[in-house]
Amino acid sequence: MFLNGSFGKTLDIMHRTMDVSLLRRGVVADNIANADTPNFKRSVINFESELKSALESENNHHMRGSVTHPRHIEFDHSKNYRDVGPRRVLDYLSTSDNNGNNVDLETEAMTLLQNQLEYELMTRFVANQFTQLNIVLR
Amino acid sequence: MNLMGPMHVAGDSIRLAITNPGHLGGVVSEQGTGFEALLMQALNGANDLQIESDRLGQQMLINPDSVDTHDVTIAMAQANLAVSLTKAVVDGAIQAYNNIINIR
Amino acid sequence: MGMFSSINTAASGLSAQRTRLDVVSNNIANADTTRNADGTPFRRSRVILRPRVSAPYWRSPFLPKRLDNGIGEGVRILQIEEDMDREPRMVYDPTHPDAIQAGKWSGYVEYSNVNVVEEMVDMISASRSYEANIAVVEGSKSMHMRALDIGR
Repeated sequence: MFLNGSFGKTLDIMHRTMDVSLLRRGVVADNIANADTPNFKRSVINFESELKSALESENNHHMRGSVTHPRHIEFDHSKNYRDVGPRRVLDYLSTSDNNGNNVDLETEAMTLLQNQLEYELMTRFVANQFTQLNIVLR
Repeated sequence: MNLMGPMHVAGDSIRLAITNPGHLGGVVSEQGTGFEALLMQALNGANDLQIESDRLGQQMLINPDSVDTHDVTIAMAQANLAVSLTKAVVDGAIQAYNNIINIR
Repeated sequence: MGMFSSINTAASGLSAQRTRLDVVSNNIANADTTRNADGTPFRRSRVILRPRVSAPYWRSPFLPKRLDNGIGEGVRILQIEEDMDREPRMVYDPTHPDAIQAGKWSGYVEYSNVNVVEEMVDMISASRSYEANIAVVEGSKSMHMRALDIGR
């Protein structure tokens, strides 16, 4: 019912980012739990930068190529934000401890805190979206 | 035509698109412009969202690891909002009808 | 991802660090022990940790879906073994009942191979990891409480 307007689009983007935020929390929790395991390499989740490029590409008005043959390739590089998914990347390039473990507990703790604050801000935003409409519909 | 959005797949029933008179069954997805069409759209949308919210609630009990907290609460809030919107549409229609009937 | 996976992961970390702390405290308590109850010389124990999902073998950040092991679920203890590698501390004391009688080390007593300073460092590291895991649980709890307020 809400998928076509800006309300639905904002809600959908927030929902997807909250899902990825929980995913990232799982990965960071795994890094922290394995902070002393020998030969363990930390992982990270990449999502926001790809989402940003997909959202920005919607406003791109590229030069239209003259497509006269069915096999001509379009210049259109716009990407639908619904196609963007999170990617989990193994970080094997950071410097390691003596036992092969490259988890830095302070970095992981900061990522954890940032993740929590972002998620809580997103829940506040989504709650506000609903509250705004409920004001009108009272 | 976006057929596979979550609003069209509710539980174990899927709306089929009828584009040809020879197609069997399903729901005719015509986009009428009358008030009746608007009301039916709102009611169907509200119904779908409520079914989705119930489904997530069931899944939360059966398999808690497959559904997130915000999935459930967002679905609940969307269902409430859809019902409120539908109610507002119906109230407005009834009020307009009464006003028209009572023109002296 | 589910509501509880990060909490379960942190819980596995908490129990592993707690076990590590227990092992360290046992080592420190027995720093001057010469013999076990059954007569064998006392050696320090150490904890072997492994991740719950085995790490991928190939050193590439771009894993094909089919070969991916999924997000890890924390840490588990493979075993608690005695450390036979480090040399025991030898003290010359011929009057001690456990002194070696003959050979190159005659008159020496074989104390445990516990290095108290190193055990203290292990203890600090274990308690720091423990607190980090607690922070994960607390944060997840707070996030879920906030998510409950969405439609209210």
